[in-house]
Formats: sequence, structure tokens, C-alpha cells
Amino acid sequence: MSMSVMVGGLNKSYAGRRALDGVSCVFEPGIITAVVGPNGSGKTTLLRIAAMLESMDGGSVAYTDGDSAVQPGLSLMRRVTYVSQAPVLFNTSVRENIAYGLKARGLTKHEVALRVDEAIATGGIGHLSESDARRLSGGEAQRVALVRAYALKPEAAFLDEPTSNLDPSGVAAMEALIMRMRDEDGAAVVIVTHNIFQARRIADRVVFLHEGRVVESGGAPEFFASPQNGLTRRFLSGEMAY
Amino acid sequence: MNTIINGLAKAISLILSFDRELYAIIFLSLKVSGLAVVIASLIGIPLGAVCALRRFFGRGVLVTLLNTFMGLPPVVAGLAVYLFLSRSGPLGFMGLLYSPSAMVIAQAVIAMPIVAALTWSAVASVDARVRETALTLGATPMMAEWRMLSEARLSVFSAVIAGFGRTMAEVGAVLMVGGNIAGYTRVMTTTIAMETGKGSFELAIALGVVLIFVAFVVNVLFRMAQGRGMTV
Amino acid sequence: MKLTVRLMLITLTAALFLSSPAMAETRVVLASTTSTQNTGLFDVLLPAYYNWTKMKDVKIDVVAVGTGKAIEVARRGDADILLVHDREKEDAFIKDGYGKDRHDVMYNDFVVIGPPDDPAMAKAATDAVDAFKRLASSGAAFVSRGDESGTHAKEKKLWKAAGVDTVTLKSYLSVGQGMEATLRITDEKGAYTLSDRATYYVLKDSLKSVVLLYWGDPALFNQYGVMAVNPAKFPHAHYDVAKDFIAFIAGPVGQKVIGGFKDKAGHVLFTPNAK
Repeated sequence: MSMSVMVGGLNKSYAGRRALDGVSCVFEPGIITAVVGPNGSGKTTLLRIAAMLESMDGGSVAYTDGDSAVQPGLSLMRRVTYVSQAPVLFNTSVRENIAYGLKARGLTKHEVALRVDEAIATGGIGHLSESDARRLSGGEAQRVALVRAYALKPEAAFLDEPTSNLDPSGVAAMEALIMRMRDEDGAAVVIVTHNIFQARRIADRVVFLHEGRVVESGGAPEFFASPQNGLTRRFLSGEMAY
Repeated sequence: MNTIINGLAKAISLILSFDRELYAIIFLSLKVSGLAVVIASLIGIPLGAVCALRRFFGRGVLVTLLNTFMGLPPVVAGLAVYLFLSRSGPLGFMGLLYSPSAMVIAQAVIAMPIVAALTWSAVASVDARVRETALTLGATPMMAEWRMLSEARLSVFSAVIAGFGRTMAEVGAVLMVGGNIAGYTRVMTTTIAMETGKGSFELAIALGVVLIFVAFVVNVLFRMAQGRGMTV
Repeated sequence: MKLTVRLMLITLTAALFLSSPAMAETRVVLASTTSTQNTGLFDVLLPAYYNWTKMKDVKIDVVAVGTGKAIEVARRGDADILLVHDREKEDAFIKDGYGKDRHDVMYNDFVVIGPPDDPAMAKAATDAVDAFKRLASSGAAFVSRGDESGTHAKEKKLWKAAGVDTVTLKSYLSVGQGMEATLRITDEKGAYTLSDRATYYVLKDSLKSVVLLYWGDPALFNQYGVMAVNPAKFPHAHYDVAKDFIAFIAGPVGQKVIGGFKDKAGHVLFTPNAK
């Protein structure tokens, strides 16, 4: 499976305010793309539209598998997942939360149990598995949401600030999980991050958004070593207050 | 004071000796209200959930109506059902008046708006992002709606309990459509009313004690469900 | 919890269905009055009927309300047999084609109940109408059933005969309830009321502030009549059972049961008088 996501000329406004202005990019399979930029630059909006959770005012979102286009619909939705910035967990145990998407896909009880156990072990949250998901701390909830996404073995994963609440060891564990999604499942992983260091650590490509436009994008090493655009340089040097 | 003490003493002996008449009345009350609440929930829970989850023409009016009828005096519901089920009424051919079935119908009519309105309120209070999250995990729209309802399950359960409590406590409707027939449509509340009128307080007090006890048990069960948390 | 809920539902539904009575029997509604039911007469009469009747699987359901209401119930076709005590209303019922096969069944009488010190001097009345005149002129409190029952009808007739408009009475309480409730309220207030003797006997021991004051005038006789709901008006009515029951209650066996029926203190409450 090698699914790519192509967004072209995306426009989106909220209450008269332009969030996205002609944004185009491609998210390739087996690649972690970091979307960076100051607050309000449209990163979350881009993610949500690409993940088919919101409609755009103009432009297009296209999913292709190899050469053929993939039609939007339930089956495509089940090859894609999205984790929001403040994750929403269900009013049940952590284990049931992780099992939810698998059960929805009609896997057998046995298969579900296997996948859930594997995901919990890989994500290192065994100590939380029977807990009431509503009673977790912000950081614990974020880890569970990510493990939940990982368990689905998605072909495209859109993660919004996936480690913002975690301490360094938690960040390391979750970055490892995200890289597994790329490596084991060949997923097109797109993460929005505030954390330049994180982008340096794990991104293969970087897209820099500023005020709803793509200012610069490219392979991660080049992007960080020699940014072309003045705005990019100012952003990377920390001069942009955000 | 004597009457009360004597009444209480006789009541306890009736309860402990498993007096046949007493227990028949108790079980009939539980059966009628129980079945009524089941029917009310089968209609009311989906109705309340749909009102909370989907937009449709007339939704606001429907919700207002449900909330209004939640406060419907049971005796008015009884009157309406009586007029329908009477031989001179539209459903008279069914011959249901003065039977336990009529009582179940009347009590279902009373309980349904309660269950529906409280379910609506419970589901409407669920974080709207739950639905979207379910979709991102691969749920169909229907599954996502079901998840919204599941999130509110404790509140929905308490809505059902509220309906049950109301029907167990009412006397006007069951009296009118049931006829308080000995051994057939005589329930706890109608017996209390009748026996008190006759001056035989023992049976009335015994039933009063039992009614309070039933309310207590129901509440305990509810707390247990709550305390167990939400682990499904 | 889903599983537990399912289990509870299944158990509940099963319990409900398993405990429903067999549908083979014929249920027949007898509309009567609360005062009759509260004497306990039906608890004796119905078993005797079941013993006597040759009809199979018949169940008589007594729906006891005020006389006016009982007749209304029968008019709507919700009853098969009527046993009340208001001759005028019964005759109207038959005249309008709703009832047939009326028989006298039994009688008891009405009595005037009031406070022992009897400020209205009802005890010394020359007849029933005179008693009511005295009640009116004394200004004493009077409690009326006010529910269109046989008792209420009799009370209204007596006021009329005494030339009294109840609106003018100083203290006239119309409570809209059955005889027992009315007697209790009367007792509570130490007022006067008109009661049927049977109900008074049933409650006598628990009434602390009122006693029997006036009785005996034939005008106070309370005649009970039984009749069947006319199948011509209501084809669904169980006329065959109604006829059978009437044959019982107006026949020698039923009459004997009525005559032998006593309350806890040994009073005979009804005098059988079927012809």
C-alpha cells in the first residue's frame, strides 16, 4: 500500500479571516512531513482539510494509491486517521478506546485483542490499559490517543502537536511510535509541530506555513541547513514571536 | 399516634410473613411500571438521541413538547388514555380498558416524555468532538452517533430510573384506566388510596413502607452502576 | 453493562409474560359503587356466584366508582352489569335504551350522622325532611359527598324537599369523594352528614367525634338495583353472563348470601328484597 495525499490550491476562511490561501503540497507514503509555522498560520486547518474532516472553500484534496485515484468514502476514511491537538478519549477504559476503531472495522474479537495488546506493548502504556480513559492526565491521554492511532495501521496519519504535553522520555517513546508508523506500515505521516527540534529529529520533509501560505518546503536536511526564504530564516532563528 | 404505631407494627408483620395479597399487589406494581418504562425507553431513548444528534424540520418544537409533557400530571394522561380505550373511544374495539395492559399503556405515555427529554439533554451535553473522533477512527456515521449515546449512558440510565420512579409513584392514571379491580388491576398506590379511605391503615402503611423501600433499592442500584465507573 | 442490561430486560419480559393470566377466561365488568364495595359484600358474593354458576371460566371484575360515574361507565359501553342505588338514574338509563332486565336486589338505609351534642337537634326530628330543615336553620356544618352518587342524589332530594338551597347554607362542604372519605372528613370537623348505614358501620370504631343521630324514615331507604347493559346498544357486552349473574343475585341463592352478610360487629348490612 502506498497512498499519497495531494492538496492543491486550498483556500479556507473562517468568519472573514483567511486561514489558508492557495496552499498546495504533497504528502508521500513512507515519509514523515512536518508542518511548521507560527501560531495562526493555518497548520491545523491544513491538517483537518487533508484528513477530510473539514471542507475547503476552494482547491482540492486527492488521494492516490500508486497510479489510481482513491474515491472518498468510508473505505478511504478507514485507511486514514487524525489525532487532534487536545485528544478526545471515550468514556470507557483505555483498552476499549484502542479497540474501538478495530471493532468498527469488523475485526474478530481475537484479532482485536491481538492488535490492541501489541499496540499497548509497543506504546509502553501497559500500566494504563485498564484505566478509565477520562481520568488520565493530559500527557497520558495524548499517549493513548497516539497508540490508538498506531493500532489502526493507517496509510495516512495526520497528527496535530502529538507530543506537546509529554516529558522528554514520553516524547522519545512517541516519536519512536510515529517512526514505526512510517517504517512498518509505509504510512504518509504528517505532523504539525511547534517544536523545531522535533522536526529536525524525525521529519523527512518540512513544510513552512506563514499566514496561510506555503513559504518554503523541502527535504528536511536542506530546509534546516540552508533555508532559502527570509521568513524561513527568521522563523528558524526564533525571531518570530509565537 | 397509636394508629401510626399499630399500623407500622402490623405492616412489618405483613411484610415479613409474605402475605399473599400484599405481595401480589407489589409484584403487579413492579410488573406494570417495569413494562411501561421498558416500552417508554424503547421509544424515548432513540427519540431523545435523534433530537440531540440530528437536525430536522420541527426539531425545536418537538423538544419543547417533550419537555412540556415531562411535567404532564399523570391523572391527565390517565384521562386521555381512558377516553381512547373506552368502548366509546377510537380504540374501544380492543377491549383493553380496566386491564393491566391499559395501565401499562397509560404509564408508558407518562414515562416516555420523561425518558426522551432527559435522554435528549444527556446526549446534547456530550462533547460534540466525540462524534468526529469516532469518524476519524473509522466509524460509520451511525456508529459515531451510537458512540455519542454511549458516552451519555449513565445519564440515560438515570433518565430511565426517573421514568420508573414517576410511574411507581402515580395513582391517578392507573386508577382511571385500571379500575382498581381486586387481584387484577390493584397496585400499591391505588390500594393505599382505597385502604386509607376505608380506614384500614395497616395495609396502606405496609405498602407505603414497601414503596419507599423500592425507591431506595432503585437508588442503590443506580449508585452501584455509577460507582463501578463506566467500564463497559 | 450492555450484557447486564440485556439480561435484565430478558428476565423482566419473561417474568411479565409468564405471570399473565390465561387468556381463556371471559372477563365481565360489573360497575358498582365504592360504598357497596367497601362493605366487603363482593368478597362474599362473587365466590358464591362462581360456585353457583354453570358458566365456565367467567371472571367478574368489579369497578367501583360513584353511582353517577358507574352509570356513565355503562353508558360508554365499558361495563356489562350495573349494580347501583339511584332509581331515577337507573330508570333513565333503561329508558334511553342502555339497560335492560332491571331487578330490585336489596336495600339498606341512609342515616344522619352528627356530633353527639347535636346542636341542630336532628335526633328529635319528626321525619327526614324535618331533620334537614333543622340542619339548615342551625347553621351547623354539613359535609356532602358531592360526587353524583346515590347518597348524594338522596341528599339533594331531601334539601329540595326541605326547601333549602345549599348555596345559602353557612357551612356546606362538598368534597367530591366516596362515603368513607366523606365520613372521615365529617368526623374530623365534628360536622353533620348523610351516610349509608353500611359504610357507617364499617367505620364506626374509628369515628371519634360523630354518632348516629336520625334514621328510620322510609324516605331514607336506599334501594339497590341490578341490570344488564343492553346488547342491542353494545354488541360486545357479555349479556349472557349478565343475565346469569342477575338470575343469581335476584334468585334465592344470591338473596340468601346477601341476607346472611354481616360486618365485623355482626350487623346485617343489607336487606334482600328481590321479587
